This record gives sequence, C-alpha cells and structure tokens, in this order.
Amino acid sequence: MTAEITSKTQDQLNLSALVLMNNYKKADLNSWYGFDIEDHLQLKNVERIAKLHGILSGVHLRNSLHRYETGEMASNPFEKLAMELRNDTTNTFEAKFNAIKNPTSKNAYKLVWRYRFSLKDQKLYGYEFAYYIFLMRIGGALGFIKPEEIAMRLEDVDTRMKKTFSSWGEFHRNVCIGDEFIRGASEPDISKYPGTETLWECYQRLNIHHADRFKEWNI
Amino acid sequence: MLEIFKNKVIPKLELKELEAPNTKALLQVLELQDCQNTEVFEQLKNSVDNQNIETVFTEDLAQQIFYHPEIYANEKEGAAFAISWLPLLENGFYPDKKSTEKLIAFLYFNLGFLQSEAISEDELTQIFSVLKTLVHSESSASLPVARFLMHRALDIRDCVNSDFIIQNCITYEILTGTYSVLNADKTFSKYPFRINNEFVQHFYEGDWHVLVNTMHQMLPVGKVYLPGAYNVMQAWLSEELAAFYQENTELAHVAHKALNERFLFVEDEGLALLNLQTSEGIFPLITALGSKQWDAGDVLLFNNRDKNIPQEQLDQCYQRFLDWLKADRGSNFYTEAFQEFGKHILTEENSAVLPVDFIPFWFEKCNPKTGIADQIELYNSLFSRFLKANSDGKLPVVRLGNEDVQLTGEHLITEVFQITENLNVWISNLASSNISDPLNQFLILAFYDARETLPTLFNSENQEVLFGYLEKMAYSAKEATEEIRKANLPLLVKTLTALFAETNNFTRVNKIWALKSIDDSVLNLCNDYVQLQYVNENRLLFLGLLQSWYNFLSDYYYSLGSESVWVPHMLNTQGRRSAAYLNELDENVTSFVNKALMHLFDFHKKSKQKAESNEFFQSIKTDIENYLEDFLKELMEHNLAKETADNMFIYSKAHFAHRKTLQEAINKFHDHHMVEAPKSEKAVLIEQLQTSEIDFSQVAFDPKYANAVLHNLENYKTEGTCDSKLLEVLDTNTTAFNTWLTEEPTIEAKFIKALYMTLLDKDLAPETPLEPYGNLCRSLFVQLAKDSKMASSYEMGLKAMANSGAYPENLTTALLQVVNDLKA
Repeated sequence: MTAEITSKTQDQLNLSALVLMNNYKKADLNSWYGFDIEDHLQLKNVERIAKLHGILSGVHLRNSLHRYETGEMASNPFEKLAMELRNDTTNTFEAKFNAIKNPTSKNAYKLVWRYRFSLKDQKLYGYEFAYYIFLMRIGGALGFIKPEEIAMRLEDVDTRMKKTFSSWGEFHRNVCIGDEFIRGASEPDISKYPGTETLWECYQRLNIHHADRFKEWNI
Repeated sequence: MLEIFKNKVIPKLELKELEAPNTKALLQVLELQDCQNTEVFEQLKNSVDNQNIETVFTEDLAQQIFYHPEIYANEKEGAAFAISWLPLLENGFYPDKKSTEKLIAFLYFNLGFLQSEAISEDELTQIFSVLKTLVHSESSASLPVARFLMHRALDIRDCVNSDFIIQNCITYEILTGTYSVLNADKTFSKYPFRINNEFVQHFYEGDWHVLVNTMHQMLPVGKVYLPGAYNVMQAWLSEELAAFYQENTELAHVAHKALNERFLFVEDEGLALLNLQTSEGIFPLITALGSKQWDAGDVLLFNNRDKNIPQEQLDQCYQRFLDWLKADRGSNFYTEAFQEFGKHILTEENSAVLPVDFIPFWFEKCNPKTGIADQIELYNSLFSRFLKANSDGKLPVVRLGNEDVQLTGEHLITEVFQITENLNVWISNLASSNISDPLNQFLILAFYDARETLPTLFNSENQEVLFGYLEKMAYSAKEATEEIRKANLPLLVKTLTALFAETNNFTRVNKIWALKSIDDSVLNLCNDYVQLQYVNENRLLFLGLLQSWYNFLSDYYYSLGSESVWVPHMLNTQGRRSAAYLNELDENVTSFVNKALMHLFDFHKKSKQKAESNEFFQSIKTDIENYLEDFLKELMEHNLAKETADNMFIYSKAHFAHRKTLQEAINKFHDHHMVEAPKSEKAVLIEQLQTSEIDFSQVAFDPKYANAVLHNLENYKTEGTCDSKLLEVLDTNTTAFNTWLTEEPTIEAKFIKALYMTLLDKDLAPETPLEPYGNLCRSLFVQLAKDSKMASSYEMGLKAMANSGAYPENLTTALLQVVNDLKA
C-alpha cells in the first residue's frame, strides 16, 4: 500500500478504529488496513477474520458492504422490533419479555426497548458503517479492493456519518449498542476466551490510548 | 585315405554277385575312399572297364559298405568308421535303413564317449557333419537320424547329453531346414522342420500333446547365456502350433508356466513362443492370459507381449491385470512384478488401451482419505495419463467391452461412480484434497463433460453438494500451479454456469461470480454469466432484482468500472423494462421508486461532480441518464409520489438541461401532481385555518380541529410546519376535547402516541425555535395522559429516557418536568 493517508482520510478511517481494535488488539490505526500485510502471521489473521465474515473474494466483500449499507445487518431488524415496542407499555413489554426463552432474543428485546425512541433516526447506522469500513480494510489487505475505491467509499460514508451523528461519543455509543444488539450481553463473561474484551471495554481503552483522535467531529 | 575303410570294410566286400552297374558304383565308392591302389579296385575296374553304363547303388551294396556292426564294438573305431562315411555321403551314397539304425544305436550308447577327451574337436565336427548330411539327405537315413537327434535333444531326463546334442545341432544347424521321408513309391518327400501334423506324425507318432509337453518341459532347461532347447525349437514354431494352443487353452496355461520358469531359471525370454500367431492373426498364448487368474509371472509375460497384437485380444488381459492389482487388498503393489513390469504395462501404451474399470480403481487407490500415501503417489502418476488427453476438455477414450469408447461424464457419474444419489458421502473424501490432486482434475473434467445434463442427473440437494465441492476446488486453485489453474478453472466455471444457468438463487449466482477473482482465465466467463443472470429478458423481474441492480451500480461506480461490469449494459437496456414491470405490479411502489430514484440521482450527482476529472464518471453519468430517460418515459404517473416528482423536477432543472427528453419525462410527473393531486380534506382545512383571521381564543372545540392537529403532530417533521395555533385551540378547550376523545379511543391512542414522540424530539426542546410548539405538546400530553391507565407507564418510561443520557440537558429537564406533572 503506497498511497499516502491524508489527515482527512485518517479521520475517516478512524470511524472503524473501535471495531478494528476489537478484532485485533495490536492493529495499527495509522495504516490503510490496520494490519501489516507483509507479516505472514498477520495476513493469516486477516484471512481468518475475512472468512469469519464470509468474505472470500471481491464480490463477497461488496455484497457484505451492501448488507451493512442498507441496514440489513442491524438497523432493519432493530427498527422492526423498535416499531413494535414503541406501541407497548411497560406492562405489555414485560409480558412479552418474560415469554421469551432465548437469552439472545431477551437481550435484543431489552436493548431495543431501551433505545426504541432515542435511536429512531440513527438506528444502528454507526455500528453498520464502522463495520463497513472495517471490512473494506480487511478486503483491502487481501487485495479484494483497491485503495482508490476505499477512498471513494470512505468519502461518502464519512459524509453520511457526519450528518447522522453529532460527535465521536455519540457515534461510538451507537457502534457499541449495535455490537451489543448483534452479539449479545456485554457484561464481562468469565467463560469467554481469555484476552477478548467487550466492545465497551475496548472503547474505554481506545479513548485512553487514542483520545486525541476522537476529540473533533470534523464535518 | 581312411584306414578304417581299407582295413575293415574292403576285406569283407562280396564282389561275386555284383552286377555291372553296382560294380561301377562300388568303384566310385572306392575312389572316394582313396582306394585306387588296392587289389579290389584293380579287379573291379577291369571287369567293367569301358562299359558305358549307369551306376546303381543298391541297398545290398549299401549294407556291404555301411553295415559293419563289429566295428562299433570299439568306440574309437566306430567313431572313425562313421567319420569315414563323409566323402560317400557328400557324393550321394547313403546308408540304408538297417545301417542307419546301427549307427544310431552306436551313437546312443556312446554319447558319453563323444564328449570325452578321446574325441578331438576335429573328429567331432566330422561326426556332426555326417549327421547333418544324413538329416538333410534325400535318403531313408534322414528321418531316423533327425528323430534320434530330436528325441535326445529334448530328453529332460538326460540333461548332459541333451545339452551336448542341442549345442551341436545349433552349431551345425542340423535340426533346421528340411528332412526327407520315404514314400510308399520309393520316392522321397522333403519336409521342413516346422511343427504341423506331418511333423508330429513323423517325430511323435501323431501325438501333439507329447510334443507340446516335451517342449514345455524343456523350456526352462539350459544354461544361462547359452542357447538351449528353446533355440532349437524356435525354428519349428508355426501357425499350426499356434492353432493347437488356441484350441487347447489349458496347454497354453501350462506354456505360460514353462515360459515363466524359463525366465526365472535361464533369465531369457521366449518371445517367439509367447507371441505365436495363428494364420488368422490370433495370439493364443496372449489371449489365454485373459482366461486365467494372474500371478506375478503372468504380469511378466503380458509385459513381453508383441506390440502389434490387436487390442480386442488384450482387453481381457487388462481386466485380469486389474484383478491382480486388486487381489489381496492390493498387496501386489509391493511385488517386484508390479514395480518392474506392472508399471511398465500401465505406461507403455496410451490410456486408451485400458478398460474403463481402471478409473474406479484409480479413484479407490488414490482417495485422499482412504488411500495409502506411496500408492497414491505412484498410481496418480500412472493414471494421470487419463488427463493428458484433456487439452480440449475431453474425457479420455477407454475400452468398454471390446470397443474404444469416448468416455462421457454422464456415463462416469451414473455407471462408473454411481453417485447420483449419494454424492455427498462419495465426494467428501475427495473434497478434503485440492485441485492439484489429479482425481479432482479428472472429476472436474467429468462434471464439465456432463455439464448440460447435470441439472437432471442431480437433485437440488446434490446440486448443492456439487456446488460446494466445485467452489472449494476453485478456491484451492489459488495455491495450485498456474498450469493447473489455467487448465481447470475455466472448465470448472463453465460447469457451474451450465449447472446453475436457470437458478433463482442469487446468493449462488454471486458465489459463482466471485470466482472471477481467482484467475484472469475465468474473469470473462464469470462476468458473462452474472450478466445473463441479472439482466435476462427471458425471466421475470422482481423487486429484489431491481434493488440489486441499483446496489451494484454503487460497486460499479466505486470500483471505477472494474466490478459489476454489466451495470452499463443494464442501465442502457433495462429502463423501459423495469418501469413496465413496476407499472404491472398491484402493490404501491411509490416508496420503492422513491428510494431507487434517490439512489440513482445520488450517483448521478456524484458522477457529475467528478466527470471532468475522469472519463469514466462521464460515461456512468450518461448511462444513468439513459436509464432514467427510458424508465421515466415508461413509468406511469401514479407510481411516483408527489414529493419524489417535485424533488426530481428541481434536480432536473439544474442537471438535465442537456437531456430534453429526460426533462420532458420528469415534467410529465410534475405536471401530473400539480394538476391531479387532490387536496385532502385535512390539508384544505389546515389551509383555511392558517389563512383565515380567526381569533382562536374564541373558537370552540370542533372535532375537525382534532383531526387536523393529529395530522400535524404526526407529520410536522416532514411537512415542516408546526401549527401552534391549532394546538392552542385544543389546549384551551381541554374539557370538550377530552369528552370527545373518550368516545374515540383509537384517536386518543394516536394522539398520545404522537405527542409522546414530540416529547422526545430534540428540535422541540426548550431554548429551540420550536419551543412553543414543544411546550404545547408537553402540556397537552400531560392533560391527556394524566389519570389515565397508562400514566404510570409513561412516567417510568419518560424517567428512564431522561436518565439514559441520550438527550441534551434542556430536553432532559423538560422530560423530568413532564414526569412531575404527570405525578401531580
């Protein structure tokens, strides 16, 4: 990767910093891909992550991007449930909640109930586009997408995010909520694989180590 | 002059009864024996002198000269006597039958003596010259001497003497050429030394079996690197012998054994016998290999077969060879026979000589899961030849029955592998390997060959399995050599595109499309396929497909045209069609069309901005305009919402000045909504209310206000008007409003819901321009919700909202105020 990263591009890439760090603790936030593609082991890791997201080629990658872009991954299911819950009262909601057995669904209900009004407009777009950029970086590392294309897409995503959110904090909160909606409870879980952390934890760490990056929400 | 003749024979001659012609013959004999100086010669010469008569050598005279048994009593003299015959024989004076038999008897009992040092090389040479002359002579001595030599040579019980005779017969070329037999009419017939009925009659009393068995016994006998009985017999081999073998297969099998032993013990081949041919061109000893169970020796023999044997005589043999390879769980792989000869059998000819059964055998042995490593390697190298013919994507020719058959994929799938039903189990082992495995390459070839029939051969479940397999192979090609990749990937992709030519599963289509990035060789194949799938006028459209078209436009745009290359084609050809489809739909498509058009305009705008810097964006802009033009010309007016039409109209003015037709199409929609849009009752009311100078404080409650307010509450965001005056009417006429609401529970619920939403709107928070409207909403909400069943729920909900931290401080305060008011 030779193309230089302008401060503007860097700012745009930072939209995926949280997700990137969550997936790879040692990621280099200042690079296009976050991974050193010359490093065999890191490249293996990239391949693993790509495979985890079902990305085997450029076509797969772009189809994934579509899914994130159109809200198919999180926003649409979120909105569908939120719309339903907006008509509920505390009591009817509790009845519904208690009737659910599946802990994952329970978690989703709880979360959507909590944000059913506040995220009416933003939905989970922050989360989705953070992933959108993250996947582009992964795809870029594997040669599925060229830097020019990444740059162009970044530009448009950035515009959209800056319109949708008013601060880094708001944006990152949305990323974390989205992650919680998709992946489930964020309470520390001792049964988890050691070394993994929740996105909230990662968010805290990111803000400690890289606070400067996330001060100004450059529109 | 030979002493033995002078001393032993001459004295015994009986001259008295000799006729003149006989005398003349005797004279010649004496001359030949250098006996001109003897008395007898003088005497005889005088008696016939000057008489011009024929010489006649009678049997009596012959006996006088050749029949002297007493000489044979002394072996040395016997040998000398025999040698002394040579000049006579060379001049046509042959011994009679009786004398011959005596000589044979002498030789028989003195074979040991002849091999002793008592006999010089020279003498031996002369003795065998005598025998040779006799055998080849037209005399009654020919057959007996030949028979004697033959029987002695082929006498398995006496190998020393046998070898002695054999070596000399070969040296002096005795048992070749012809021999003579006396006919009943005293004439002689010449016969060649070739095995046929007469030969067997003459030497083995007509018994073929004795001869053949004798030959078999003698085949393995002899010394290494020296000629043996086989070399003698080789000259006798004949089509008649071949015919005999053909009729007596069991003897052919015995011959196999003998030939094998010959190879083992003498380390020499018996090719002439092995490849014996009948007059009809049958090779009986080879074909006989096809009718028995093989052992290592048969592999050896088969490996030595003649190269010109017609294939149909070999088919059975290849089958037996395969049986042998399979026997004992394939342990013959490790035998010397396989390593030295078996491998050669499999490599010397092209694969077209092998029966089709070798293919399942190959698949069994080289199965990456169940095969044995060293066998896999070798068998793969041997059977990869099945692939060699594949440069044109064809399966190999093999033998099926007794015919050359061009293999087809269908035959392999249904008959050979029989995998139409249980594909998953069968293929999972192969899938564990990769495309570099020759088996997988062969399989790809087979599926490719059958690509047109695959949809009928496999049900959808198995098609799924097949797809999984082929996709895995395709991706494994990334690790394969370029040669393998370039040779196999196109076949693989063509198979998939044929198999899923009619699919409706676009996830699958995309997966096939994705294969394009593995290698350039399949780029166009994949792109062509996907274009045909996404843009195919023979298939019905559906909303999801249109949606994908617009989505892929973004890929095309962002990738600068390197991805989704079919998008321009779609944009330039599908405008009318997609509009016609939408016109036909029963459902309301305005929202879909709105979204789609916004998307297209978005990209049009972006492209336009960049058009100057890059030709590509200019072309994409034109393509989008073309699509829009076709689409909007065709689309019926009611499919476009007023809002969309208006937006388009505004955009069109600014950006489509150069496209008159497109502008006209857009104007059409705009005009339609200008004229048609019937104003709703509410809208009319709102208009009236807004324009009239009414003192609202004096206005009494009227249900029509309620509807107008509700409409405003629900739509103020999008319509952008916050009608505080209307709200005030309700706020001041609370009692009447409440009474009316109790009779309209659904409207009440709608009101509360709409008001609830306004509470959470940041734009209506205190210290914003719209605060009055917000305050009215908060107040009205409290009035309506207070003391209702739901009051406590709202209280809790709003409190939670306020405390969630998601709202600005001023709104949080306002919310908490509402909570307090509800409690009060």
